[in-house]
Amino acid sequence: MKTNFADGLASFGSAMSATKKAYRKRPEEAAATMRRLARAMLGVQEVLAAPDLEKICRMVVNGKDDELPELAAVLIDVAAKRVAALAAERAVVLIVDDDPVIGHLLNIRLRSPSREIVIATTAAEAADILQHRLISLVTLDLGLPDRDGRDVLSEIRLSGAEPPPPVIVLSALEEPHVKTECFALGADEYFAKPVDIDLLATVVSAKLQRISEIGRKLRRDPLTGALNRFSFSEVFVRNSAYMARAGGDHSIAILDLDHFKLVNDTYGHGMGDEVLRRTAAVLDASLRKSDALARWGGEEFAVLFPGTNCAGGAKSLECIAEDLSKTVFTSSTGKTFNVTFSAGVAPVASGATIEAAIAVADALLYRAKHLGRNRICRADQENGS
Amino acid sequence: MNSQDANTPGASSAGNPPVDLVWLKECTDDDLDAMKAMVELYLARTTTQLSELDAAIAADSASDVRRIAHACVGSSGTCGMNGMSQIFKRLEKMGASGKLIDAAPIAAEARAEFERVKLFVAEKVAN
Repeated sequence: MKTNFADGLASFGSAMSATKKAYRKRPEEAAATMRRLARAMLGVQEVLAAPDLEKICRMVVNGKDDELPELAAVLIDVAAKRVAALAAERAVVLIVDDDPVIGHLLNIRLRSPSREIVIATTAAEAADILQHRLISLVTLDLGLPDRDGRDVLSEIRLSGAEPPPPVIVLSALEEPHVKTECFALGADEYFAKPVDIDLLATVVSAKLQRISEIGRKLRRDPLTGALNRFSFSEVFVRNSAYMARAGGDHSIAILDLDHFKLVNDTYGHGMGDEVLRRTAAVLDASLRKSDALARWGGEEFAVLFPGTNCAGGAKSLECIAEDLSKTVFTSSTGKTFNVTFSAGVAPVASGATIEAAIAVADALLYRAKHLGRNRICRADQENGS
Repeated sequence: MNSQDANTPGASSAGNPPVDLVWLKECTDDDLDAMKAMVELYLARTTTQLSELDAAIAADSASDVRRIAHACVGSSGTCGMNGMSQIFKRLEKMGASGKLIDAAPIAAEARAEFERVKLFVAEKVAN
């Protein structure tokens, strides 16, 4: 489960599903298995980092026998959603090679459910992909038809992508200085053609594993699992470049939890953290895969809605507000409460910087607060809803 | 590299089969469909490249001969077409030296070896 959490979680889901079916015939044995599976899941770091998954696992572990089929169904559902979300975070391997034979071989040997393989046959094609997509790893042939692969290598290193994708050079050039030059230009590995494909596949897996561990820490807010400001800005820039070519509307929102200071002061910071975690989970569950969610500040979240205008973005937030209103928080003393949020939704003009777009959304958020909180103000309808 | 029976269809005069089938199977992880697809791609690409080589030799363009032969060395080696790979290496060296005097007979040798590859593939891989 440690090497590939998505695959591991999917198999836990299948096992739980099979056990749930067996419950009718042998309830006691099935109940024990369900608890054992849930307990095993709680031993996995990534489960503990996902509040909704952790919570339902604990409920299964502590549930009464007759409650277990229903709880197991919820666990299977939550796990399936998490697997889908992880699939959306698949590693993207860019193969740059003009030889279709080698491209085909690399594709069949490097592909896996947790990876997407993208092939570029020219330096220009590779540059275009690198500009518009977040690439996890590159295999680079030096003999490209339009430019020398060494130029592409330099460009990848100068692009400033964080974390920079590892580059594995594959070359049939035999001159020793070429290898030295590639390492000097920032190559991580150098394979001579014909490539030892088994070794290459192992090296790619090891590098992707490391990138995924480092990348997650770099990209995500540790408390809520939402993107941090830095990676949200990166997503914004990539999206802007894409929208400039593809056209269409897109919008951005800033959300702020109402009276959050009161939650902290009344129930303690631990409860405040729990509110932030679960609010992020509610947001995450309702947003589309193409939307981006970030923790923008203390109790502020930012959402980017690609291909969606202000009205569409606001509508999506209204559904989330309704979901959040149904979320009940229970303090350590047993008191229950709900939270609400205020939000501002602004359009993102073509070529606008993230600072400019956020500034407009922020002004609308301020208006929503001023008008009495628990409402959404959008640029084309300033009085809020 | 694997050695096989010299009576294998398409075996070269040196006795070595033109395709290292064991290498080919291993590198495609024993996936027969993937192996067939890879060989088809190789045959199509090499057919084009052999014509390009002839044109480059006729135009006395050493740099083009070097570039095309270099690409052929890569894909031939990757597919376990060892005989092809060796011939293309000679052509690549010739292109690098700038002297193409003996290039035409070597290109003809490549074509003959390619015919052996096709025969071998039709017998051992395609079915």
